[in-house]
Amino acid sequence: MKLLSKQNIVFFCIIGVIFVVSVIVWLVVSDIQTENTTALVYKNGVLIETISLSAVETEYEYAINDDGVNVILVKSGEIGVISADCPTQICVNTGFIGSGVIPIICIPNRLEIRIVGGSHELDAVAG
Amino acid sequence: MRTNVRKLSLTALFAVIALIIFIVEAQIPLPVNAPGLKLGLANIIILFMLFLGGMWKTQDIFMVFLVRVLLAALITGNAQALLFSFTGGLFALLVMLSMRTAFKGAAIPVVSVAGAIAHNAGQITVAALITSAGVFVYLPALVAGGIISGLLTGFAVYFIYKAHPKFISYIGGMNNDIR
Repeated sequence: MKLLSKQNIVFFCIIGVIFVVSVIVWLVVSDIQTENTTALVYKNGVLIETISLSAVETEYEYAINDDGVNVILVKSGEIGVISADCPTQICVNTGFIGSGVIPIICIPNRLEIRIVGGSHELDAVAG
Repeated sequence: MRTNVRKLSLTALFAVIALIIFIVEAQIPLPVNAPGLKLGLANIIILFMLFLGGMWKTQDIFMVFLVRVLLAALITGNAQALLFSFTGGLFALLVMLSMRTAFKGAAIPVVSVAGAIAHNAGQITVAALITSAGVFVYLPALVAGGIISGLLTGFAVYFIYKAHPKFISYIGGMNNDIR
């Protein structure tokens, strides 16, 4: 049977290895934790907002309305998109982020929310 | 030069089937939440044509791909999605063509997986150009997802070939190699 020729078995093994490696890398990457976090909100590739999430006491929401609508909810330590007019809703489904490196991305509206660790501030306080 | 009517009508039929698969696929929700990840079932038609023998050439496959992508964009009315599906599809097509040529014995699922990974890599590159390089953290998820969807579509085509050899030689002409 041609499907299981020597060459194809090698190919399937390579595919298996790539699969296992990418799953492991994905699990490691989504598990990275950051502390004293700051959220950076990018619109069309430009930084429009910097929110220190650890400093937020009362939650508030605000909408970004130009070139597509994304409603952002900022909570203490967390940020998320609660509604959007994009067809895919990937940004809403990503949920709230507060630590880690997985960003919230809304490609149709060119919105990106990234989390950066505030280790410098921590050092300043500790020092 | 005579126009091959059978070939012309089959090419049109392939494009329409690919389009229908694309529309049906858009209705299927995915359990995984990553930008650009999809089943890629429309690739079944491209794969199917890639391994048809006889009269099927690279330009026929490219024509079906172009018609499918353009009509899909007209139906959804989303110009940005066109950019994604065109780039992803082109990456996949080029990789699958070179895989088929470079490895004569490569099985359909193997070529399919290579195409699916190339498709997702192409899409995330467009996403990175539109937003920022930060989207590349999704690359491992897209590679793993591409392998699963590539195996799915690849084995779908493989079993169509296995189950209907007469049908395949009727629409494919001569020199069909089922692998």
